[in-house]
Amino acid sequence: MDYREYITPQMQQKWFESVNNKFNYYFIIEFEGKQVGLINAKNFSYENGFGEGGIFIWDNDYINSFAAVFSTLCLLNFVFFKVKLCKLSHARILNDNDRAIHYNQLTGYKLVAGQEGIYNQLYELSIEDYIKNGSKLNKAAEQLNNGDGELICTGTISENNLDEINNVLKN
Amino acid sequence: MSINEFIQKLEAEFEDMPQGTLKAETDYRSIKGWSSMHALIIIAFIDINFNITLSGADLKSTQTVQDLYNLVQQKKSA
Repeated sequence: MDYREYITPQMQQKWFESVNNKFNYYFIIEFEGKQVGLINAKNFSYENGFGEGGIFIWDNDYINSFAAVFSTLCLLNFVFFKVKLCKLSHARILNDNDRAIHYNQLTGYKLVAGQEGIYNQLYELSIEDYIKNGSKLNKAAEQLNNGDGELICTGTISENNLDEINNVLKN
Repeated sequence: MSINEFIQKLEAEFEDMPQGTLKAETDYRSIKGWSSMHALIIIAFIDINFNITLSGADLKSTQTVQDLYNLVQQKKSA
């Protein structure tokens, strides 16, 4: 997280209005019946895919649980395979955040060329690299959950969703 | 598979982990940048290489790489 200053209610409202549209998606992570965090995919464009993904687990009891990794896989499966919105996803990671760097690299994210000397670095994940790295992770997640690997999507159809997402919610 | 082969293959699963980082006595949760993603990779690694499905509880019962290796041997012979 790059911005760490105090904000006013007005700043929060302004931020909310800037993301409350079809190009930004924020999901509450519910794990073992408890709301433990938030995951987002924001700044979508058809040309560049999702401009930035992010995750925040606010419940300390769940920081080292599977909540983060399961929700990451759900989100990537959603954008790449369920809605088939794009073939690229991006993440911004501070270059001293070893944990986040490793986390994203293990998913298949790669540092974008020219970002080496920058503090808030841009990483990119192609659908090909996600298939390569994510297949085994999805299989392991499926086994841990005794599931069948099916991603079930429910939600309200809205003009604040992309048409592709509304189509998934209709089916 | 010997413990040394096990360690080499496990190291290869983690991006950019220099060879020789893991030892039998290494507490694997202490590796740099450890997260639940690493745990899932270990589960996938053991499934692919040994056809053994570990549960979250199985993983919790281990601490070192040697513990993991012993668990695999135990489940293989069960």
